[in-house]
Amino acid sequence: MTGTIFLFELKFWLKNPATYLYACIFFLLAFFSVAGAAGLFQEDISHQIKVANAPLAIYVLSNLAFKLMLFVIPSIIGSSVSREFQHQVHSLLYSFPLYRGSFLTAKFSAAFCILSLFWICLISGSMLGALVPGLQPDLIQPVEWEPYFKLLMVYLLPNTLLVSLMVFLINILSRNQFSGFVLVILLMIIREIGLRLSADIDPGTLALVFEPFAESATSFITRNWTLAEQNSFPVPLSSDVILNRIVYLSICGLMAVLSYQHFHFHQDVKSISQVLIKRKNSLNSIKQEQKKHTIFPQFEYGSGLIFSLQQIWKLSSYELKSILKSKAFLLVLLFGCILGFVLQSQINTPYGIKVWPLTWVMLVFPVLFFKLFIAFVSFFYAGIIINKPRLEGMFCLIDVTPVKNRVLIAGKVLALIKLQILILSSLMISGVTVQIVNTYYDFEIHHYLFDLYCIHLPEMIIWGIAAIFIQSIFSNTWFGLFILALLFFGVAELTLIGIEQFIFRFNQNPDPGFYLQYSDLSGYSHSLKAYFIYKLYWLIFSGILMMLALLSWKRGRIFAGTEHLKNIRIRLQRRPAFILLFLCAGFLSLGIWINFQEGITLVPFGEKLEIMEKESDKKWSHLESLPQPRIIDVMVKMDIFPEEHRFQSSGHYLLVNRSEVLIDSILIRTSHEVLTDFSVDKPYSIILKDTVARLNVLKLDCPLYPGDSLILHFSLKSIANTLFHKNNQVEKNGTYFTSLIYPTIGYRTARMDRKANETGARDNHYRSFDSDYISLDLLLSTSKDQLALAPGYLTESYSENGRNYFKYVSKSPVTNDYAIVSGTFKLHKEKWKGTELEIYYDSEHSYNLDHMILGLKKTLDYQDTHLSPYQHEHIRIVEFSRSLGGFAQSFANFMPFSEISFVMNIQAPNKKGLNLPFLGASHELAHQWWGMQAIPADVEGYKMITEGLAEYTSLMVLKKEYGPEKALEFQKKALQTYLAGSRNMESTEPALMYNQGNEHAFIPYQKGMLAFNGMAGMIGENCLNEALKSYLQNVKGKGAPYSTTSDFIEHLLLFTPDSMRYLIHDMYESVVFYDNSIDSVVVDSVSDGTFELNIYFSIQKYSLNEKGEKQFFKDFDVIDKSPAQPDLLLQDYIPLGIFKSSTYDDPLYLSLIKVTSRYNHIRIKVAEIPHRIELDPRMYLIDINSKDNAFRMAEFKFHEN
Amino acid sequence: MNLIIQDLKKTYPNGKAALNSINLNIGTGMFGLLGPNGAGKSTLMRTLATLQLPDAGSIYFNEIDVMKDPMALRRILGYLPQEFGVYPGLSAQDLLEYFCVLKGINSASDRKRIIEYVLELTNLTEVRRQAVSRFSGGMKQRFGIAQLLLNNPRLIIVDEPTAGLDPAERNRFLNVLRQVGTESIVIFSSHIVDDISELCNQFAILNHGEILKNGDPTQSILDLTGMIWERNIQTHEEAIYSHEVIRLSSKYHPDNSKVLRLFASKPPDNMCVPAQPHLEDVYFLEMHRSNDSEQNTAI
Repeated sequence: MTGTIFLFELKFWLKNPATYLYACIFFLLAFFSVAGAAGLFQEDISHQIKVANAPLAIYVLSNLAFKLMLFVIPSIIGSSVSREFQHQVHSLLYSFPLYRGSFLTAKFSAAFCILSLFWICLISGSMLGALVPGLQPDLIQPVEWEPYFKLLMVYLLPNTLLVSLMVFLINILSRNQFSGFVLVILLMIIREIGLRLSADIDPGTLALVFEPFAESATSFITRNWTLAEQNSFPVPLSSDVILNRIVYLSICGLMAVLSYQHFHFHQDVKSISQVLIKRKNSLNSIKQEQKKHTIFPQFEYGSGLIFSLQQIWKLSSYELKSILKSKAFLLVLLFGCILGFVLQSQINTPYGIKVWPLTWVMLVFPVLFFKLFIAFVSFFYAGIIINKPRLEGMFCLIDVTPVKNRVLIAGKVLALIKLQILILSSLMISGVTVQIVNTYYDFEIHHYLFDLYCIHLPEMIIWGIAAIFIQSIFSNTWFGLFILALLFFGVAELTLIGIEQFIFRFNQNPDPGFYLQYSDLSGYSHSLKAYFIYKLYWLIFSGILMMLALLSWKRGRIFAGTEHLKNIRIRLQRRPAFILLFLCAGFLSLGIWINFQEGITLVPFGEKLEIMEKESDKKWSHLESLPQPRIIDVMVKMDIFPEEHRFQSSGHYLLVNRSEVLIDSILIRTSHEVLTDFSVDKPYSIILKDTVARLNVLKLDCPLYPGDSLILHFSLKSIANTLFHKNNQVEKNGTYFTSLIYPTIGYRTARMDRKANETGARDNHYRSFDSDYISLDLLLSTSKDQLALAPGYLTESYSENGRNYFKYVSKSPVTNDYAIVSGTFKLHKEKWKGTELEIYYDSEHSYNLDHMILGLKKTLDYQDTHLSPYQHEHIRIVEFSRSLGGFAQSFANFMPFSEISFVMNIQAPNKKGLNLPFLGASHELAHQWWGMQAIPADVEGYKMITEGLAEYTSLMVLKKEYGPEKALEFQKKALQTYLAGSRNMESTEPALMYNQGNEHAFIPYQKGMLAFNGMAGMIGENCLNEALKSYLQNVKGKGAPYSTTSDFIEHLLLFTPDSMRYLIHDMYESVVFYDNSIDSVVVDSVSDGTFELNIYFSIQKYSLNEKGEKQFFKDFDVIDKSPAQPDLLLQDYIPLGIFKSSTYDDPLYLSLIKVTSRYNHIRIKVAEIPHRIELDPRMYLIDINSKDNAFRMAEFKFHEN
Repeated sequence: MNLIIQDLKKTYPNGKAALNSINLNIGTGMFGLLGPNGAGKSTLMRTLATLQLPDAGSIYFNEIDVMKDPMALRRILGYLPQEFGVYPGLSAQDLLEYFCVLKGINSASDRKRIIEYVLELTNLTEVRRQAVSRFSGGMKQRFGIAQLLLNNPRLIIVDEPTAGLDPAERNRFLNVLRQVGTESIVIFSSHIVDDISELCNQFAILNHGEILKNGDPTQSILDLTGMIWERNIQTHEEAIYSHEVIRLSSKYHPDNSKVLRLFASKPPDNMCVPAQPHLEDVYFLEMHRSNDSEQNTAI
């Protein structure tokens, strides 16, 4: 019997066209992913070394496919359970002498076979994808069976089995195929939560096992893999993965048992309420008929547009009502609230800091995942709304009523929109709840309403209409859902196949600045209008889709394709054709207009700017070495008009010929962000004007002799914003821009790879290339309700003609870079030993002023004690709008901070989480030393000195204020960021002191901090600080040649003991990783009451070669001594600590141990049984897995002697 | 009021000719459509109800050209299909409201009165708050009548409405139908001859997509007067007659003896007694003739 049903089921599926469609899609997805990643579409991917069909790459691909599979499973499994009911043969079938067990087994295994078939398609697709001729040979591995088999057995089949059984069970319990959808949504949410839990550096086994698909357990291991490992290693079977599999396979078993127990060959599943109703019904039917003979009531048919609209509204209400009647939707809504709540209450910045639950925060952060949620719920319910009449057999009643098709469809669309409004409301409900829970009571309901219903709803409506269209074409909810999922994920990837223009990318929001960065200071800023234009554009497209859906609407019974076409022909009369044409014309012309408007780039950006720069550099790089006068004096007048989003400025530079030759040509480059006019005070002619390079060459009639000076006058104004491009940084409040808009002298190429030993490379410091130190004189004006701020000392402020004026001058020489901020601010003022500390902030954003002030004070204390005094009399922190960015910067005594730092919700120090405003203030203030007292040359590695040391300073200050454990938390985050960045490098990672450019920020910041902290730990904090001091004293206030990282290392060497000099090589000059662990500990109790610990630990140290392969440092006694590579010799000091309690206080033992081999054994006598033994407890070394560094005595087996 | 069907043809993609040049002229009152399963009754009913398109032919209802303007017919149409479902969970009241809106009844007070009226007529007032998806078969059919009445239709099409109803339900249902059938054209299909003979003033017999007979049931019965005979025989007995005698039906008695009903212009033999003709005899006679002619053409 089992076999018969099984074969029958299998035949059913093999006759179903949907099976082949799914199979094809899985095959093609894998085929093109692999072939594409190996260079099928792109010409030049020679810089990549990521193997397209490495086991891990295929695993990642299968994870993506699994997301699609999640929506296929309920369709296949659900249908196998519910088919009998749908076609109403269950009563017949169930009367056969079937055994429950064999019936269920046959049904389930047939459906599961079909699902497995899809995986086979995926796998064969990825295999064949790697065999396409003409691929990049380095990016392809020979195709082998084993990794695929493992993938199938460990991940794909168990995961599919798990979800299938869950769906099977829920279908049996509910006899409703669509309950599977709710389950899938729930699983997606659980997966999301699991991934978030395991993102921590040490998530613990529970978090890893929790996530049902073993994705987090696997990524936890693979996240520290080098590129070479990613390319070659099989997907690992760690204990966590195995445990995860065991747990979830047991759940599978449980599901199977439950399915068996709860399945009955009954006509209906009866609930108690149903039974009660039945009884009542039978009572009713016994009642005698009593009829009042009346005539049929008079009524009137409605007609006209108003009636149609009323009809649409009412029909949508009934559609909605029928959805709300189902428990499944209520569950979905509940999930929505819970999901919103979880996302909103977890809002964290990259450093794990919570943000105050301001309304915009509630709205901005959760929206990405939540949009996905609403989109999929819409896709699904669009299918329900469209297919329900047929599914429930009500269409034959509906289709004979005189309702117009357009009214019917519009009613359905409106019902879907109402549904979306409902779900969006759940975000508001959860948002307000999160605010109440966090004791934040300033509910900006209008902001919720605007953001949810004016900004996000149109986007959802566009998806909703697309869903209605697709579902009405396919008439199968699950298949439609699958196609829509494919579209949804596919549209986001259109750029991969070269479709960049947003007019071709359905319902996507264009960049840059289109993320709708709401700011409390400047609102939605510039992007709102353009956003709505794009939404209008896609709404017109949706109109076209609606018309097509209307024309091809299936009314009544249709038996053949020709009949359907005949219907469409009949419907395509003049009016619909005209409307369709009109919409198409509107869509096309708006598209062309948008494309044209998008093309108006008054200020080049992105790729265009890059190309321009490359061209200019190619043409003019030889001018780089041309001697030019240096700027020594800057005088600028800047007028900002916040309401009008513009500024104008004028000023002059005083230039001096500091070279030893005559200068007769002056090179002046203007900024592409402004319109600039200039002149000099000596007779000249312009002999060259390159508008692409924005380079002007002035020929002086009389050359400038050494020591002579010249004045350059300039005036400039901002470029007005266009519809789709923000061309200047003026906001209505919280404006912020830097001196990059002003003209520069000389030509400087954009390249970042200047080596220290190039000629002239050390002539310029990194802050500006046309000057050394200048005196700065700024006169700023802004609107009457705003303050304008800049570096320097405020010497004058006055109001004139309804505008506020502020004059700032420098008292001591500063570098030629500055920023200007304008906004409505409140002032918070404190003092530190005669230094004025000021914070200018938005009146609503007073949360973190004390943290920032504390950060400033503690940093001043630290630097003053260990390095040198602060060079100015003021420190000013000023807030700027987050629509301009989320960063902070440091200029002479002036530090603009993004709004985001002001709204972080800082937890008490004993709780987890870093005090980012404190750290930020400390880091930016540290730049007054590292970057402004010591100004390195603009050559490779300079950020190690500026950013690395600023970050190190903030760590030291944090440690001093909040203790070493807080510092460890900061270090762990840094290590995590660094390792993640290092792992994702697509080429060889440069050493800290040779790193260039802005791309790999994790090297100067995170690795820099870890390296300096490691040095401080190993040679002593005081020793390192002495080295820093020595370097600083040596370079402070000096002009060219400016210092480089090599200069710095020389000072460091002076303070490093010989035996530790290898550390300098490891940390600064190369890239080295450790993988240390304590393997076991045996305790012997000694007669004098002390204990002897036998600690067995292993030390692995390696660097990576160009191919990303590990080069291990070898044991001292096994190394081949003759052609020795001395730098690959393991001869290290490793810190070891033995601690009494879970803290780091009063260690029983804390010392450096010399290690020369991989496996080590050490005996240490201690007075009491310790809490734990830990290698490198303070994280001085870069250890790729710190999880196995500690041995806790709770795990320990006592060993009496 | 009359419904004119001319040359209606429909062939399904699988090659089955469901309607083969149907011509009918139907006036006010109850019209019964008789025919075995698969005769094309439902196809004809669905085509009349604008649920599907014919391949050729035309349908006129009074002034309305149904092929050209199906919406006009839908305004005055009430249709109860052989099988239908409803959205689960929605009450009778809700669903009737929904259908009122679909049928274009604008004012809320009109809707209220009409729904009250049809609920009362179909005796569903008591259960109007209950979900229709959980109604029993008879209640569901009565709900089907309730929904078709909402627009006070001039043309009512009911497709095999009594199938599966118990006798009490069936009676109740037919009574309701009788009440509403006086002022409109009611087309009623069934394979149960009694339904038709109890209700209809016109009828047609359909088989293999063709109309075999069309007319007044009473007249059709009268036409057979003196031509229907009955003969009692034992189960094991065989009765053999010539071609002139047509065997219409046979019924068993509880004692296992059998009654044969025969058609012949004169008494077939002396074992036969004359019998009162019924509509059933008309039906079986036509079916017999149609099958006969089919066999002849096959040969």
